[in-house]
Amino acid sequence: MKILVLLKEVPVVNDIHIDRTTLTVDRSGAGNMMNPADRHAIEAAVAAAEAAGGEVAAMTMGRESSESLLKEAIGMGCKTAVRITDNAFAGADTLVTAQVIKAAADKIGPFDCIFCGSSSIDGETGQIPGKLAAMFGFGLLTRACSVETSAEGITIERKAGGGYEKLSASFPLVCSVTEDANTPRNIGLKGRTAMKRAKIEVLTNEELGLSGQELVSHSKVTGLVPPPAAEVGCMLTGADDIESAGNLVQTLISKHLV
Amino acid sequence: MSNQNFWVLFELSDHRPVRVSLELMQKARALADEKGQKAVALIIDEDPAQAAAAAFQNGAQTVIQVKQKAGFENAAYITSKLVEKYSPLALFVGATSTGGDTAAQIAARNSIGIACDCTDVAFTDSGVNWIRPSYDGQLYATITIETYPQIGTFKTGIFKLDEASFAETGEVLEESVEVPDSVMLTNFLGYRPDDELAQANIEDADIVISGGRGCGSQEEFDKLYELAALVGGSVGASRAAVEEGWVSKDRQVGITGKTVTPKLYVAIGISGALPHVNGMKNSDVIVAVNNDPNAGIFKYAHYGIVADLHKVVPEMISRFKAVKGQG
Ligand SMILES: Cc1cc2nc3c(=O)[nH]c(=O)nc-3n(C[C@H](O)[C@H](O)[C@H](O)COP(=O)(O)OP(=O)(O)OC[C@H]3O[C@@H](n4cnc5c(N)ncnc54)[C@H](O)[C@@H]3O)c2cc1C
Ligand SMILES: Nc1ncnc2c1ncn2[C@@H]1O[C@H](COP(=O)(O)O)[C@@H](O)[C@H]1O
Repeated sequence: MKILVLLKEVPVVNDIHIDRTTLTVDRSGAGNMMNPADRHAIEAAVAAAEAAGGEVAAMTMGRESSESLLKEAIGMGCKTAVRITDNAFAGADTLVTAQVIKAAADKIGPFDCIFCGSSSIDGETGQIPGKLAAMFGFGLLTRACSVETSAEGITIERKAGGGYEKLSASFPLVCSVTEDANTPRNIGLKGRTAMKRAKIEVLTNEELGLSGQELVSHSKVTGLVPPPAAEVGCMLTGADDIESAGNLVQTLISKHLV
Repeated sequence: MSNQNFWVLFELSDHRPVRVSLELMQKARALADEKGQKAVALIIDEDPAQAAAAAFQNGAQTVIQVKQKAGFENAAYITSKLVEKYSPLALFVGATSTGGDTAAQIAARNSIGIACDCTDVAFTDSGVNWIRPSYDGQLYATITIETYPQIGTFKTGIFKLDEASFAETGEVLEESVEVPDSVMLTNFLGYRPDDELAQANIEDADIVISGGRGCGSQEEFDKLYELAALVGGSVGASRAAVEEGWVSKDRQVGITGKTVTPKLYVAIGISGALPHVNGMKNSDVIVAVNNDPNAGIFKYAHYGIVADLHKVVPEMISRFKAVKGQG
């Protein structure tokens, strides 16, 4: 079985300097990291390969710095790694990103199973898994908090309201996982050796051959606005903290709030 | 522009619309009235009658009714065909698990631009502005999409659900779309209710009492459960409290947790960082307890007290107990 895991490099938001009055964003000091859910996607992919037989390829679309994610994936047990990059892909929205990933997966595939993170913390859209499934004509299991792999397919559970939904699909399929899904393995000695030897294949649009039309992003960020301001309310006081608490309870009761 | 009307893709649970669908219906109607368009509900279900009535009551002028098995893949397929046929201006979808998957597949099938997890939408002369938090809610981004139709998804609670005040009937268009076997690839095997998750289902609670890092310890945080039980509320938390390990992430309020709009939200020992505020600021009434008079949370609070929560929480518990004892 051939398994693909998709990784995304995201900025460390705490490091980004944001000025809310001038609406300026300074990313210069910000480091990058692997999107947190994606490490769990690697674990799910490697565990699925162990359960159903097969090997895992790791793939990212991103800058050169994102190769460190691929190396980590190799360390965790992925066999091959591919980075997709091209100036033509800059500013890609989720539709274009999914199209590019599909073209690259077609190139190095076909794959029986594609693992993703449930959403990326910079975009938080969770669009890529669903779009890929529609483009490939694969089953789709999203936001898994548990993953069970058999020879035929995958069964997941995901949180929904006051319980869990159980879903399954046969291979080929796309599965996205949350951070609840598993505990990513540590990289051992063997993994570290593999990381050192890792060869990362780079694919550009020369290999993928997407047309200008396919690379047009429909959606754009056209402005930044400060968060909506709220009105200031009423401060309750008392001679001491106990009396303040009493006044609060009194207010809640008299305003029929409890 | 030839694209017309605001559509809401209804999500049903046991033939009844989920809350976010009705919230979006009311929003669509408000926009439709403003722009001289129509608010349209798209309902795909084997038994759509109840949902159609609810759609009309909440502002739909037209219901497009497809009496077929739903399932997100079918729904996405059917919707993409109907979107081609009718060319709506915009399609609103709830940002639930099912809604998110459906929206992603419609967008992929029809190459439609999408803005996800929006917190607002505005129609200007130059087009649609979709507003969503970025940089952890420290700034909001305006997303514009150059082509029509456009899709926007919204979490439950972003728009307030007002009293359903419209007529119970209106124009019903029956549609049917043949769905090839190759579309339904994912099986829904069932639902397993879970006590812990049900209690953590703070999105549906009328009263949410949330604790933050200011609680200082597991023991102190746990007192909130007693307080919440006395007023029939649920316990929520800031991300800091979750990170301290005092409470499960299922109760986290904020942009990386849940969005809540209860009648009463009580923030105890929470500083009011924007990622948190973004998940609760639409609550009807907000109360803050904090010992720092400059805590940001007071900017959002309708009632606030500057006090030590270690004194306030036990006092509130004993006062409510006393009231209960009388009643
Ligand atoms: C990517 C990202 C996403 C995030 N998403 C979320 C999210 O979804 N939800 C969320 O909540 N946060 C989120 N955060 C974190 C957020 O930025 C804040 O760090 C967090 O909300 C702070 O939690 P807190 O208010 O409990 O803790 P603190 O900021 O430490 O505040 C504690 C408060 O308790 C008060 N206090 C202390 N002792 C007492 C006492 N004895 N009596 C009364 N008051 C007292 C203090 O004055 C202070 O105001 C996110 C951050 C990032 C980077
Ligand atoms: N540029 C990218 N390269 C590779 N994988 C990606 C990329 N963007 C998103 N993904 C995958 O899709 C998941 C969901 O991302 P998103 O749809 O952006 O929230 C991520 O966790 C990754 O697994």
